[in-house]
Amino acid sequence: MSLVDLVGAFAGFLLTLMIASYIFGDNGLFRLAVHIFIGVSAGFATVIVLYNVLWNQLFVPLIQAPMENALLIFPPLLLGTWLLVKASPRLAKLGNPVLAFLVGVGAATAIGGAVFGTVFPQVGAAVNAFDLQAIRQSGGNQIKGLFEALVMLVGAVTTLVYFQFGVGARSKSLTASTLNSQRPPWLDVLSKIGLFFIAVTMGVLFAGVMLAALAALIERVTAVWSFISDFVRFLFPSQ
Amino acid sequence: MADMRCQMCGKTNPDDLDECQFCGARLKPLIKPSQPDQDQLWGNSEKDEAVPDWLRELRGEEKDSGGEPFGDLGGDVFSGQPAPEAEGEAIDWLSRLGGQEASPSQPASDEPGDEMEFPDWLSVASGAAPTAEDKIQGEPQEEGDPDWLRRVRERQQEDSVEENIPDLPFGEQPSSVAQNEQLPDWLSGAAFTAGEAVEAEPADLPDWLSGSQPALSPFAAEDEETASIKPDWIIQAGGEERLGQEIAQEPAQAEPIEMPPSDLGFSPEEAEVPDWLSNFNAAAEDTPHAAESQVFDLGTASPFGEKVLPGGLEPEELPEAPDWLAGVSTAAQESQQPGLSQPASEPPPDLARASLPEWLEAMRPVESDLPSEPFTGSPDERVEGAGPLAGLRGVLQAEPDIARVRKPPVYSVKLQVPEEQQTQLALLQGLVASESKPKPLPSPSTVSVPYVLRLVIFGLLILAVIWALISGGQQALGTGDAQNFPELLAFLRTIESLSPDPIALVVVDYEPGFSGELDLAATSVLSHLVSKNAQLALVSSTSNGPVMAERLVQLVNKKLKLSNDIVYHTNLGYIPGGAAGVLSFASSPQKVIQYDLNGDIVWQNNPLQDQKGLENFSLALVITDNPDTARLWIEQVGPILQEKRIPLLMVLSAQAEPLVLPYHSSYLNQVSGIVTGLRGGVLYESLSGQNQIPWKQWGAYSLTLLLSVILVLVGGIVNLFSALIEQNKKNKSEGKT
Repeated sequence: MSLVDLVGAFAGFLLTLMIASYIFGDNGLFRLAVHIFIGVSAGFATVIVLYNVLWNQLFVPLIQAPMENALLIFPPLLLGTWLLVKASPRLAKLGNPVLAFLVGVGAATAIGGAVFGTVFPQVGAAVNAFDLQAIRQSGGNQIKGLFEALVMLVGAVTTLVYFQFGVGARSKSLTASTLNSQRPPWLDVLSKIGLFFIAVTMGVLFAGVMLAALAALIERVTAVWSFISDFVRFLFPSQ
Repeated sequence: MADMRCQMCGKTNPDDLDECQFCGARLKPLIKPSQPDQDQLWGNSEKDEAVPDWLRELRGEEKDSGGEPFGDLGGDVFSGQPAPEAEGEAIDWLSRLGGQEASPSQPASDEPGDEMEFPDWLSVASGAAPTAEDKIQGEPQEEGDPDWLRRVRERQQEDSVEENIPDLPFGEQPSSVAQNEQLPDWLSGAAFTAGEAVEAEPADLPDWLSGSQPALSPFAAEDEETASIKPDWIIQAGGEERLGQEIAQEPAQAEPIEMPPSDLGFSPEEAEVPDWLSNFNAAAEDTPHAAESQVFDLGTASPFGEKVLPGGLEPEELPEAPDWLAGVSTAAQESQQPGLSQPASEPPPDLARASLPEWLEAMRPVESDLPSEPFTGSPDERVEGAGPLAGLRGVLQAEPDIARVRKPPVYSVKLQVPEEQQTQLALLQGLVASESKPKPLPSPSTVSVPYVLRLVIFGLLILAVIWALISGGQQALGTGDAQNFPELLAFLRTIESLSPDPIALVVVDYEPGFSGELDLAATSVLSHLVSKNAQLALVSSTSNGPVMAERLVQLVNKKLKLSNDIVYHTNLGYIPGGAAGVLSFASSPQKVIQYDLNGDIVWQNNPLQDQKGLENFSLALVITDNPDTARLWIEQVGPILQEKRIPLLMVLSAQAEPLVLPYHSSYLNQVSGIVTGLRGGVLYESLSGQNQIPWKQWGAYSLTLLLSVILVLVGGIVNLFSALIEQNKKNKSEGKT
């Protein structure tokens, strides 16, 4: 183990213990470790942006081949400089057009991708799940396939119904329970089914998070155990 | 224009004025007094014949002097202080009244032919003190002497025996007086005989002697009608010798009487007060009101000086005051204070009631105006406390309330809020204040059940990991049937189906915290690719991606050293702009990224020298722990990759798999294959034939996973039973109520 590796390992060991001290409650060591992590991440991100983006993708092309890259570089350079006025409270309003351009492009990209990349394909998949012929061709059981399709359909619909909170027209004949729910009874039943599917989804997500956390815990404990073993072995090479 | 003298302040005023321009007193009385006008006083050519000589002489002297009859004596009269410059003048005319020379001590001389008989008290008033030698035995009385005069003379004679006071006949002067003083005609004798006064020269007699003119004012208008009226006191008094004795006996008892200031001018203290005057003074002494009268205080200095008597008479020589005068004074006092006035000495019964002259009648206060009772004021009336009227009651306020300077009242500007509203206001303020104030949290105990439980669970997990590390992972569970993971099998098939020497676009977008979960799967996949002679183009949409990509390459190199393989890679760096940047990179990667992380031109060097864009890549591998990042690449790059028939593979974390799996399960097969977390890495490691499974980690993972499942189940069961117990308690409590 080289010195660099040793220093790195020791730093990792120390930071791991500092983060693990949170099990006893919030304390200064934990906060110190968090601050170090945030600072290092911010610093690294800054370096990456300055070097990898501004220098490599803006200034170097402008220096080496300005005419060839003029149309490609000058608009982003102009807009980026224009966006710097947002730092001044008095001139912040001048940067609104650039910000609007960014927001507009981002929104369009996100909406387009969501619609064409998620909604349409998933709806098609939900409909296509009832294609018994495709199931037969894939070699699967049609009943099982159909059941899975129904469950998937019911789950999707009832989940969407659960998020519907419309307020119906009030009438004098409505009872107190009806007023409290503010939707028809059959809709309440579907929302409760959708609530079940949502709960199952939340559980699955929680399980995945827990698995990831366990894996992280194991890796850290393994790292600490390895460091201690190597340190002891370093101190006591005969053993 | 002749000037008029104000009776109040003594200042001169024009004749045309009705009121004094200095004090506002009326100059012309409302009731026409029987007084001589100015012409008569000062003499008029038409009426000079009726003016007595003494008066004529006075007018002449005053005209020469250009002053008022008595100069500025008026102002000094009321103050009781004689004017020094007028004193001599006053004495002069008084002395002239007695026929003496003009001198302060001696009256002015008078014409010898005009000597008249006058009583001793009048001669004494001119300044000469009568002595015993001067006592005149009296001239043979004429038959026409009135009774009162005879009585006065008799009285004087009787008193002269005891007091050696010369009893002078009325009208006669003592020898010393006769020698030194020249009395005016009206005092020298003839005017004091009623008959002579009426027959001989009624005009020469003073009015008060003749009864037709006021005796107190030398300026009394002569009235022919009243001149014939004999004063009662002349008739009733009698005895000029008695007159002087009485005056001499009671000089100190002289009380202020209402007389004009320019009258006798003698000091009653030193003058012999006649009987009539003494009677009057005695009556005045009994009345307290008399004591207050300060109009004519004979006890004070007279304006004409002290010890000056008309006609040079000494106070002892003054004849007795007639009864009518005493009766008049007594009646006047009784009319003013009937309750307080004590019965004064009643006039002698033999005296007939005298008819008052007009001038005296004018002076008499109207009975209707006389208060029946002495005005004492209401005890409830306010006593004046400021100004010249301080101490008096019933006067108008010198300082009305309006004019009094006092501090203005201070009115409170505070809102008058009733007590009830104040109480409600306090309640409302308390409610509002409680809303802003944070509720005090109960102080947590140092050792609580959740804290202990947390420590226990952590300890168990740590122990399990340590035990697995120590045991070497022998308790590791099986990976399970790979058929149960079709996405993994598809991933493997995709890798296997790649063309030789593929160029893989590897997107490294996972955080360093998930390196323990993803390093195994990522290194396994990359190692599998490297074994295929694949060249890697590393890119990232996060700022930490480039460094994680370099680390991943080092791990792969470290793993491949065993196989002596080298990873050929190009680190394209960071793609800014989020979704838009990824889309732009997918559309034209040459324009988005021209230089790699080392600064070298990407699209002119191997392996990306063809500059075909995304078509250069054989597959796209996304390594991420975030489902959103995975969805981003699927949504933005997937259509283009599908269009170019480039497979999209993903190495995901266990938390991202549930959200990305539908993209693989859909009929569109947007994601060709998925390797999930540690389990997927172990499976892929085993399925790819690399067999470099980290058993220790897998054993610890298996053990901790089992322990976690048990803890979740136990916790769920305990929570369920707790809820049931709480529900039963609640039902029981509701059932009781």
